Amino acid sequence: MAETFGWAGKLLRVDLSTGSITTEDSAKYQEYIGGMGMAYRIMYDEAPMDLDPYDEKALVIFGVGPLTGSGVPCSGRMNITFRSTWSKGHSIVDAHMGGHIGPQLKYAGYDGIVVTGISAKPVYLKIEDDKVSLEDASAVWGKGTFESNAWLIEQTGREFEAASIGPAGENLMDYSTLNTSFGNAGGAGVGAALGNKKLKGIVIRGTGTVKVADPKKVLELSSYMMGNLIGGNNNHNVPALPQSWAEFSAVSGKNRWSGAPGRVWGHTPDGEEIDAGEQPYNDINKIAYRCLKGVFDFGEVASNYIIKSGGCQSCPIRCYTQYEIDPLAEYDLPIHNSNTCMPVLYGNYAYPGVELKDFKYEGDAKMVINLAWSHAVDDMGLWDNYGNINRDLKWFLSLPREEAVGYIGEEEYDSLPWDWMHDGDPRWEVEIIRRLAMGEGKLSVIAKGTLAMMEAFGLPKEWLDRADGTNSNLMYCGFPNHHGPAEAWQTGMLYNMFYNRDCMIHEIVCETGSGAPYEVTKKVMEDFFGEGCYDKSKAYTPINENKVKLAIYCAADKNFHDSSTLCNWMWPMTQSPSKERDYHGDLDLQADFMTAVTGKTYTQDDLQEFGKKILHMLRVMTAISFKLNCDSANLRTEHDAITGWVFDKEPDFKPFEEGTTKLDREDMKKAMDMMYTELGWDVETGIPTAETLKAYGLEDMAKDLADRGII
Amino acid sequence: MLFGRRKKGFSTVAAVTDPKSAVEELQADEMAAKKKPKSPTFDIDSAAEAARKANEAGASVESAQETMAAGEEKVDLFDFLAQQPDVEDQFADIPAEPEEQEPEIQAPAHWKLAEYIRIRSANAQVTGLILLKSEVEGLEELLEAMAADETCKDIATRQGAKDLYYYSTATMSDNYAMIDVLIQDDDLVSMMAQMVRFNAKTYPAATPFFYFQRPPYNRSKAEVEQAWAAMQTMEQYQDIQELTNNENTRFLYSTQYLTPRYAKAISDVDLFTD
Amino acid sequence: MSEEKKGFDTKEVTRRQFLKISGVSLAGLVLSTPLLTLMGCTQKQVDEGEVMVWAMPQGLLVVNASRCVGCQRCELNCSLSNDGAASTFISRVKIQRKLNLDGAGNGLLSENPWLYFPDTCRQCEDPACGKVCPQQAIYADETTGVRKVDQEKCIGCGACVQACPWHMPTVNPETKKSSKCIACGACVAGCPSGALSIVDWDAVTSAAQDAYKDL
Repeated sequence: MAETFGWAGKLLRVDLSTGSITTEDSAKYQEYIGGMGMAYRIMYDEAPMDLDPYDEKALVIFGVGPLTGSGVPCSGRMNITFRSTWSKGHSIVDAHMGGHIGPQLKYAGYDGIVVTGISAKPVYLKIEDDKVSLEDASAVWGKGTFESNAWLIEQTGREFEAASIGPAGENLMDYSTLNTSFGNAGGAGVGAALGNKKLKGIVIRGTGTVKVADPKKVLELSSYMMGNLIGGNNNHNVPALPQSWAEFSAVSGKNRWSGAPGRVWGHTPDGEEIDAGEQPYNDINKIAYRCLKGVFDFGEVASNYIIKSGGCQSCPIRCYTQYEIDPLAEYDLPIHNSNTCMPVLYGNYAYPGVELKDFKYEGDAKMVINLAWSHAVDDMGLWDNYGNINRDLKWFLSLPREEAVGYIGEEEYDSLPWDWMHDGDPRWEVEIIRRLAMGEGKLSVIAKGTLAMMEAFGLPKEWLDRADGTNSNLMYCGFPNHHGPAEAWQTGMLYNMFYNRDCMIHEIVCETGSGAPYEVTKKVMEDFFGEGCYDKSKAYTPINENKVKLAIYCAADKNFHDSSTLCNWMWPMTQSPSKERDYHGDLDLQADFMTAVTGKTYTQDDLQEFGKKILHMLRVMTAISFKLNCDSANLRTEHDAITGWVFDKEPDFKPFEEGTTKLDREDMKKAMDMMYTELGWDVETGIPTAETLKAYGLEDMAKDLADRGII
Repeated sequence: MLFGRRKKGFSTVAAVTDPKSAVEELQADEMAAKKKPKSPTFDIDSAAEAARKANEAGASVESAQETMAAGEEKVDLFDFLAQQPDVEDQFADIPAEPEEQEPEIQAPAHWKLAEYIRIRSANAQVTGLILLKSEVEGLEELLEAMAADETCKDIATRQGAKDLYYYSTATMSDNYAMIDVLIQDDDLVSMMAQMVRFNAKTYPAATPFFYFQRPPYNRSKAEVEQAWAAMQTMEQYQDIQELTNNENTRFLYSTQYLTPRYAKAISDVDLFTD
Repeated sequence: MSEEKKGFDTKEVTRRQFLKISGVSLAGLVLSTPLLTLMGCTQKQVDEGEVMVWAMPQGLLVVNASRCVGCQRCELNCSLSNDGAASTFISRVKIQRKLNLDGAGNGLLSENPWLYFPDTCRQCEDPACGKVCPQQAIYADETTGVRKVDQEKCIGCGACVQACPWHMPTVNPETKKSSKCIACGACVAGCPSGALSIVDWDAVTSAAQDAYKDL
């Protein structure tokens, strides 16, 4: 194996059926960067979409990239590629996880793990540098992820990082996760994909290094980034409250640079508050106080429970607020809680119509309920599908009894501890989560996926069109909106169409949610992406070429992030908090890091081409899956069809009127035409043409599509 | 594989909920290990075992911690250090760095004034002329000298309702100086109106009532309500209007810059945009 | 209380005083207000045993566990600066081993999950690592006085790792050489939460003098 920089150089292959463990040179996958890109090539070559996702030969591919663990800020992520069992078409899908385990995989000497086969008994994969073994996991099969991960580390040693699935994954519930560290998890049903293989978890320790071509440059670029470019969480570039060094702040108070003077870590063990203070943009030693996620999520009351902030390896932005929610002890529930985003935001959806009572401080009801939710879903390894589980549950729990029993029967309905719900008792949600994760009763079909629930309950396709504000499905594929039209006009709708799960793209919401004045951000965006690319909040304009190009850029950029691996919430460095830079970030920085780490020269244009290549591969595999499983390979009509509410919501407004984010049907048709054309995809079917695939070196995929009669 | 090895006391997670005792135990273990006579074949497990025994026997290893356990008055760090036996300073051989002979510069007197303004700016405070007059002798000349000095170009002024304020653009933004001068003016009605207009024009955004209850304004809810009630009776503030968003949060905005419909729309919170 | 300065009259003397407690929790001691200010911590944090100090050539290294956010940037900056490669294992400042389960009941997966903090070489006055080294490869640097591993002499036997009560030296499995903290300060410079900080000796000395002046 030739010495390489950035990449570890080896791929680990594990066959759970035979117990075979081998390695191979990973150099040939460098043209796919790593992570997602590498996994897509392997999946296509070795586990065609013709396989059932639960077939013995089905693959789960853990992938990290050249930047993972390299010291580049916000590079602690791992991508996991497998087959969806729950979204339309059962095609290729990814889970993405943070924490500290991805870097350990690199330090152990691997760019990825390709897992095939099905074990006869529950096992875990132990990786300690070049010593790799499958070990008996019977002792923790059935246990929650927190206990499992602690057990895994107790078995192996304190420098190990662990990840494990919970009961949801073991029971093949499609909404399931793989959990690591505290609250960090990959979703998309990876728990079930591993549960099917009887692989409870992995545990990794690496004593090696990520070799870096130009370490001095990596350190210099890191300092440049941390002292000039990086903002708060989601890279928001102005603070939520006025700070004396900053010209601007988020007037709504609602942005993720929420640390401010007087806002505190207020529940430290010694009872001495740590004030987040001001964090001048060029003060590296205060960056960790910028994101006070608890206050962003729940308001000032959160401070009463905050001990400190955590997050992923290498990232100075700590988006995982770490709490001690002592009132939960009264319910015999865990009091230490930490997560960010979805798992902490909609737990209260399990209490529709209930006025939740405060627990200890005025206004703490929602946060206590939501943090109990987050711990329970993390422990059970249950995935939320970006809030669909919460929304679907809320829909069901809001039904009158006579209607609800039609779906799950009287006996099951009456077995639910309804008193707990009406009392706002956190044990209610924990019990619901337990039933969902255990697959107990008819209600648990909610955790098999929105589409499975619709089928079981006999809900028509139009159920996904409803425009009453409770619905977030942008297409009919079983996954919801993720920073789509509400934040990113037609551009957001377009980039939501590519994947077989919610798109996880933050390139635009990081700007629209930043709190900076519209004109300031618009200047940055137009300087980078051309005139007319950046609409004003709720004041949209008809589609134009630059908005289409921006949508493609966003997806390609995200694909690069999940391949290299970088955090898409923080990267790229689009805006800056620096007035001296006129708030312009540096889009080339990620390419500069690639060059400094790997020793090969990369430009941002190169990275875009890599990202587009992955987009084409994704589309090819999606087309094959749809042909096989939906009897139609027309992705424009089968995969990309937009649900009605996107156009029909807010009846008082017309599209493009000031005050609405609703889209226009004709305009979106035009937008899709433009996007397919720009990508070199057939305008009628939304499938890459043979010429396009050949231009990206994907001749084999072009031939495959032709052989299958798709193009 | 030293740290990969299972160690005694490591197979179960100790139910320690008190970080104080956790760290103290950890430190005590380490200090006990440290005090064990060092042998060429230092055995980590026996050291840890010795530490544990020492700990179990209640033999506290730190005299300071002993004092604490005895409920005696705590010892001052410097006293404690002075009482401890001397140790060899392994850094003692460091050749003394040649003291850089800084050329004696007689700093002009107005530099001190500029520095004072800078420090206050870094602490998020503008500096009023009235304050300076009461504190500084010969202020007029100093201000003139400061204005003429290229190295003090960062010192800017902003006129408030009752005073002139100085700040350093090196450590304070112009917009924050505006905010702090409005705070110094101590006219809540005027401040609220100006900030509501500024936010509507600049971002554009409607301003939540709670905006003025948070730092750096820190006004009470009652004060804000009172000011809004007063504002509505004043002719010059008739462009300022109230709205309530879809989450029952109240906002103010200026019709000079925002239509009521658009102001409401951009103040409404959209679900699932997290 | 004595009115003497009790041996804090120069920075060299101050440093010598602090060597007595290098790598030790300050629990049980009272710190003067100026010193607390310099160290960016509170008396309560000291009382709770969350503040540790290391005497280094350039100043007092303060670790405030309450502020540590577990990002491992200290380890990454250390290994990139000193070894030209990114790693947690060979980093001379150590947090990975305390992050999940530290063996003493703390760490993310313990009952006390929010207590984790970096740890490093105590620069012992009588270093076990140096005494045990068969090659006598561990020496005091002439200019800084810091204990260093002579890479030429080191044979990577690991005796220093075993001998150090805290296992701070680490044999790099790739180079087969031992390394340890050289007090370069890279970890402190890049700490995003100020959990690691260095207070220079002049400042500590004047804080000591102030403390006695006030009595």
